[in-house]
Amino acid sequence: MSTRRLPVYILADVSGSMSGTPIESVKSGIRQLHRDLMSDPQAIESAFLSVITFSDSAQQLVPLTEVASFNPPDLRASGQTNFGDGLRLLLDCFDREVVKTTADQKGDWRPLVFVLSDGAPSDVDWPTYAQQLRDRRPANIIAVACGDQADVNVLKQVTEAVILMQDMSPDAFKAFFKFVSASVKQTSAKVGSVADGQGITLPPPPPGITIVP
Amino acid sequence: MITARTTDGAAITFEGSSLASGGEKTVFWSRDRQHVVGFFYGTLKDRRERAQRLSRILTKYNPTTGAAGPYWQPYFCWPTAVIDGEAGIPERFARDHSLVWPPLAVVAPAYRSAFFFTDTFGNRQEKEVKWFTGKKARRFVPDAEMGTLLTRLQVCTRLARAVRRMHFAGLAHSDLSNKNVLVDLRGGDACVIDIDSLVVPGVAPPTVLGTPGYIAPEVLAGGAQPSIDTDKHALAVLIYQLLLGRHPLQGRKVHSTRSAEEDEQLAMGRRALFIEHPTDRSNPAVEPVRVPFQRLGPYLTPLVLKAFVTGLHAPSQRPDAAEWESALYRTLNLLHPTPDQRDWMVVVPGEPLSDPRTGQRHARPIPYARCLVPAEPEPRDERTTLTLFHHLRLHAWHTHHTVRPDEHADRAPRGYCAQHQGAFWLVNLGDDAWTDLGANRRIGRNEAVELTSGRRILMGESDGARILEIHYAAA
Ligand SMILES: Nc1ncnc2c1ncn2[C@@H]1O[C@H](COP(=O)(O)OP(=O)(O)O)[C@@H](O)[C@H]1O
Repeated sequence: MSTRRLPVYILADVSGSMSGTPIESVKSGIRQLHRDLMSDPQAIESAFLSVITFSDSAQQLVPLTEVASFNPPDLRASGQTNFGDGLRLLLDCFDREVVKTTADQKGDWRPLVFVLSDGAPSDVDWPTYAQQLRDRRPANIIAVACGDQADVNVLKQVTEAVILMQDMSPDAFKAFFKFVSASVKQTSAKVGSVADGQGITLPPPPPGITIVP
Repeated sequence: MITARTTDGAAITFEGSSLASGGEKTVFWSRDRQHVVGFFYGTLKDRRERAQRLSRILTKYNPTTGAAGPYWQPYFCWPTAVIDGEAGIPERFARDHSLVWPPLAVVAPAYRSAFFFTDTFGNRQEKEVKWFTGKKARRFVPDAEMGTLLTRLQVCTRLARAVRRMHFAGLAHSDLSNKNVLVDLRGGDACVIDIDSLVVPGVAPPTVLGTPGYIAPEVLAGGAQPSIDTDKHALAVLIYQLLLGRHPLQGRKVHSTRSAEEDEQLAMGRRALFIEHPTDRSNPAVEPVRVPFQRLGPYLTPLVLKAFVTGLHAPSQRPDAAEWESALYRTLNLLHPTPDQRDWMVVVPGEPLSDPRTGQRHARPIPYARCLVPAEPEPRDERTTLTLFHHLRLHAWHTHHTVRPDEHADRAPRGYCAQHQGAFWLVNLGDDAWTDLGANRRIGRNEAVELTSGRRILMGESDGARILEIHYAAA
């Protein structure tokens, strides 16, 4: 391994309420993200992508994979919003997949996580995992509340960086994934220049998306 | 199409939808596609300083205008105009693209087509350095685009020359990196871009520290600001990477187990250590080194040591761009085709004549010339050699010690080297007659002199002509 890896996780809500246009938009958004990253030599070098979905339970559809070998997954929407299981699996993936820096091995960069959700959790365990994420701060997490039904306050328990995407049109998703790709490109180019513990700086979100203060 | 007025009063018409955007600017094609217009978007804390900086970059510090302007134009993507203020920009357009208001934009020439390539998927890509130095990215680059040692040295020479020109004017680029230079390894060309982030003397210091991997150790360690000295570090890293395909400081040594971010900060900053340090081997390269930097020959070796050993933490000891330019150029004069004729190698008399990449050796001795300056009682040794081979063309910078292959040089060929019936010859193509000093024989236009070992040839009757003393490097 010649360069450190930048793990990028997409944690997407695929509960029943996402069916139809939203889920199709997320699917094509991931495809577009992948295409975009394939034109950035820095991202090809260091970014690794993973897709985790949650509905009745959580599932890692694509394990952490280098950009060049990544295959955008097929997504289907149905069931409940088991947000807690999504967060649990995310933490589990960090433990299993993210390489720690040790005395004789250079580890991965702090992962970049994008959480997409359009509703309110249907499970009761999610606060426990949200608490763990807040306490351990194992990653830079950006959460997106899609549509007016999304519970911003729930996402706020996971990360300070919550953005609101009121409009669930294909264009809004497209703009959002453009923002994701710009963030990944910028992070893969800039990591190492920010002091430890400091947040990363992200490009401004696209129009139509507001960062929830 | 939108038409706006630039600060010099001219009109510029550009497309309403953007071509790309970067960290600070969203970029639009001009109507004729000869230029691009880059508008700052989001928020710009120091708008006034930015505008001021841009106006000085356009005027006082601009190498692409004036008498030598045409020579320097291809070396830089230098801004040609600025839009500052409303200048006819519709508010709606500014809102749609989240532009800084009042608008601020830079007009610059479009990148030349040689700075794009088609990757193995058929997509058109900009020739960022990273494509050619990253192990994974390289897999998507067609072989022909990888160039040879000759074209890579040419790329580095042009890069060093461009930086030398900026530094000569007192300008620091401040973010010289694999993102801010385009390289055409196939054609041996390079171009410095992102000129709008230059540090201009007298105007507020830069807002960015640079790009990781290229930021000088003293900047990362805290305290120092980007400057000409820190550019020298970035230039050295780029040259090393382009010639050897690895980063000089990215080794195996772990400096902190707290986090990758802290480890990197130390590895590139306070504790930075050269992966090929001659005595301290504690930060070895990640992959075994196949071609050690010493194979770059006698002119580049001391500069690499100066940049990454003595000067790594002592900015004033770093080689400057002019030293790199001269050493790179002199190294070009040592090149000889490899035995398989696919690449080039540096010929150093006394060292094995093998291709460092394939290990193949040359079967026959290779002629070379020691360069001497006429003087009494004995010519003075320039400590520079010139490798000779079939088809090599000789220019004024080969025949005259007073000529550099720079912006002032006459580019007409003065002669060439040819192998004919087992022997090597030099043929004069100019009107300035040569003299075979041993035989005191004149070699006029279209006449030839055989390259026998020990022969001394005075390369002209004009001032500055050098003496070439012929030798053969043993196979
Ligand atoms: N002169 C140019 N010719 C062609 N494309 C350009 C030119 N300048 C910029 N671009 C395109 O616009 C993108 C953003 O421009 P850049 O100058 O990098 O912006 P920023 O200052 O925001 O980093 C570049 O990555 C490139 O694709």
